[in-house]
Amino acid sequence: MAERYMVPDDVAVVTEDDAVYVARLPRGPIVALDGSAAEIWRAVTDPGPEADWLMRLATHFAMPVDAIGADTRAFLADLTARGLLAAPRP
Amino acid sequence: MTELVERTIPVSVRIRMAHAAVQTLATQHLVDLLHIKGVSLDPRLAFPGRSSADADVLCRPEHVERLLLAMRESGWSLLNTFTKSSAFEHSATLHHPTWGWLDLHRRYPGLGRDPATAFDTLWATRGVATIAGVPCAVPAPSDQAVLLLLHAARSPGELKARSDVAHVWGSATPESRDAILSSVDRLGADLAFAVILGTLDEHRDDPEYALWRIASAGGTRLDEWRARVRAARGLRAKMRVVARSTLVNDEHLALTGRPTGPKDLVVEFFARPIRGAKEQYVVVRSRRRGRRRADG
Repeated sequence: MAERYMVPDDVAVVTEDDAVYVARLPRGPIVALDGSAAEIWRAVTDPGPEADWLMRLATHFAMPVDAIGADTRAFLADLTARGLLAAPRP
Repeated sequence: MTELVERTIPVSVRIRMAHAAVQTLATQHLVDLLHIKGVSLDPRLAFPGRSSADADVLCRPEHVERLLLAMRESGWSLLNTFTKSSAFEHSATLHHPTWGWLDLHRRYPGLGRDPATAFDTLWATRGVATIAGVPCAVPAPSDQAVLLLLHAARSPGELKARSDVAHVWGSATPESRDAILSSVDRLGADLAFAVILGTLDEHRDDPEYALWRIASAGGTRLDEWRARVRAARGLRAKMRVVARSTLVNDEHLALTGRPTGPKDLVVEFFARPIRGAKEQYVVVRSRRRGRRRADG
């Protein structure tokens, strides 16, 4: 698995403290991502060398990949449906 | 495990988003826009702990109407028009339910007398700052310093303005000062910058001298209107200023938090000349008292 999500050009991103704020431009609204949501955002948009974000998240949360996979994918599907993320091309 | 959180968004976040939102509109509508002051500042020009309450942008004058229309369609409300903003009639205040407050400048007080030429000069040496992930055009660093200092020049008594002057000019290296003075010259900002240098009185013959004397040191409403008339170019422009001096700034009333029914407007219409006369009376009286004290 080596998927990486992209932030569309019409999405603003501000990181402040531990939270990530994202918004569609030019109308909004602003969505605040806290806690695990912010961690997932950072993991899937990080341009670093580590490709397997799900494995990284599992390591970060000290949980098995199987235990977080479904929830994470559902969350990413929600962000994608809102236009805040662009899904990886197959 | 995951949640989208709805909560109070920090002002600092909204301001960045506002810059990004208005830049997106500018790009879509082919509007030339410079992001100025606040979060768009070159970090070297911001003193530690400096904060802002709104976003500021400077638009190419001939593109202002197009941008205002686009902003209105995108949910922005105009709260104060250019002619009612200040003695310089330079900016409009807009508000968006998501992005918050933004000041749209059609000219920048202190830069030359022709706003289009001033914008061209800033635009020619612009750079790019990424705000909320969106590339935004910003003036060159030395031009940013001049804009900051010109704003401080008309903000007497403000702690933030004093800190800006101390940081950007007071502690500048000789090389930085040379670069700033070069920008002042290029931007035709000599008169307003004389406030920073303490040499304003050397410009007594300039039509805008009185405007800057009042902006930098204070004055009565009558003093300000006289200065505005004197600074206006040509008889027609002077008459427009005179006519406006009798109009009520109903948006200003709304911003004070008081209800603006017809009664308020009537009260303000009559109160304004009285307030002007009263302030003038206080100044004259205090001057006389001062003279008496000096004589005594």
